[in-house]
Amino acid sequence: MVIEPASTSRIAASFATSSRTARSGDAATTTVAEPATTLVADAATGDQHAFARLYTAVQPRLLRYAYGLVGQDAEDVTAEAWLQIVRDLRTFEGDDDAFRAWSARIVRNRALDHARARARRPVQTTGDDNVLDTASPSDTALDALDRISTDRAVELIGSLPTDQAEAVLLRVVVGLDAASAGEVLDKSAGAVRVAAHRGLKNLAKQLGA
Amino acid sequence: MRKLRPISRHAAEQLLDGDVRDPEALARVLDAARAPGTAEELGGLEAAMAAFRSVADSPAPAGAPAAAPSAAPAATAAPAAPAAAKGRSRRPVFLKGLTAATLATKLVAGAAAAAAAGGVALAAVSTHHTPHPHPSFSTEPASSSQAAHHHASTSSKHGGHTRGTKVIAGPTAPLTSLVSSASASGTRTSEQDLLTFVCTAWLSHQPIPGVDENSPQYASAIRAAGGPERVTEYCTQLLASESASASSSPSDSTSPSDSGSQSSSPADSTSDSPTGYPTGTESSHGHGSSSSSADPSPSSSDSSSENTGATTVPTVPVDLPTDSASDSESDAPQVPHVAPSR
Repeated sequence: MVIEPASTSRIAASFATSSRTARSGDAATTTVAEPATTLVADAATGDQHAFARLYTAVQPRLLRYAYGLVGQDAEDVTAEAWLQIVRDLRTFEGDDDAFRAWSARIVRNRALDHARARARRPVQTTGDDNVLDTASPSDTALDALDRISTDRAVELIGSLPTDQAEAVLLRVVVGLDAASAGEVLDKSAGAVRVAAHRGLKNLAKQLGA
Repeated sequence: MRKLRPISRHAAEQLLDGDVRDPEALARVLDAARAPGTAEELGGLEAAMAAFRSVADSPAPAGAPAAAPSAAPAATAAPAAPAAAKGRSRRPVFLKGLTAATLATKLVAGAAAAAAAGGVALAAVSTHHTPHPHPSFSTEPASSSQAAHHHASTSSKHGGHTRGTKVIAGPTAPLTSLVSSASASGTRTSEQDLLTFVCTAWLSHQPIPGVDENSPQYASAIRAAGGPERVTEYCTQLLASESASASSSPSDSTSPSDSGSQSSSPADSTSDSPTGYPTGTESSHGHGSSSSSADPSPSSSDSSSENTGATTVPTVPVDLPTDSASDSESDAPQVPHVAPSR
């Protein structure tokens, strides 16, 4: 799939925190961050500092998204995704918002690879004894809702039907607008909206049950 | 618990956008889901940095936006450290330690093969795993030891880079082929390649300021493997054998890995240090400005706010070169839709 310029704009527009300025067309020539450059542009030139910041900003989102998709394999999935991201970063042109959409797409593909591979393997137990001090997603008696953790929240969202979970995660966790999320999912923006809304309703139902 | 009122379409959009400060349960859940990243979630930084450097040090691919190798700035640049290490025990995270565990597991998987310490090592590292929340993506409960055995039993055919003492010597070709073949040929390869990658990171992470072999993820691997030397040895061997087998690959001037100088590893001390995460002070200089667009959520607690959101950086949407975007994904096997099963 292709993330088109139009959707890139929409991504940016959807963020209250991102405002527009002129973008330096020759970001590659600047090694020190100028206000007009983006992290991803700097990282694309080989700026380690920028890359580290980019990773720091994006990885938690990707990890949570991946967790919603593949659970405990999230770490593997994002690690593989970053290999690819690093490899292709220099050919990526887009701002930090577009980068999120692009990287989410990569994570998604790796997650699907992972799921397929899992399906082919024999079941094996992990032997984990501390499979969580937290409850299962279905146990939604959120008595301690006041202090719901990020993890639990992601878990709850991940317990929704896949299309709804993905739509909500992409919107909320990864921070994409409906159009960009649609690009990631190969769906229309409208379909993403519908899925996300259903997801919220289901979530609300669980919470209120 | 009380009933929630039905969500209007408008309200849903507001919730999704985070525009609502609604004390209700749903809003709280969503807010929690979009909370700022934590140190626990950033344990893979070193590995990613190592990969990044290996690519950055290599010639730019054709058609790439110029710049790269020579412009690769200061190897001394401090990584934007997730300074949140202190907040580590802030809450009961299930994601906590995932990064560390995974990295460690992969390391240990290899080390175990070399050291014949498999079971113990793996048992020691595979913790913090949770059941899949998502049935359709996860056909069954995964086991890190599965992956580990897998690593241990597969032999790699590509990659082929060795490292110098400081930065990964292997230029982009190895990593690139490593990744692309991984994407192209499915998970087997990709997992094996990941081991290679982790080894590369292991052997080359010294240049990352603030992050060293005492980091918990490495420390636990070392502990589990029965000693730091084993991991280093194993990784050196692995990478060396890979460079040998991949010697035909162009641009891969495989220098014999100078294993002697390799990380006289840590472990002896530290392993349990809770603050192994990069605390590196990414202070005021440089780049102070351009991150928030990538992470709108303000970081509340610590210096990570510096990294992720204190300042708002104006970014402008630029045209995404469609080919590069598609290129990078094109090699990824196009997802057969794992259909939601509900």
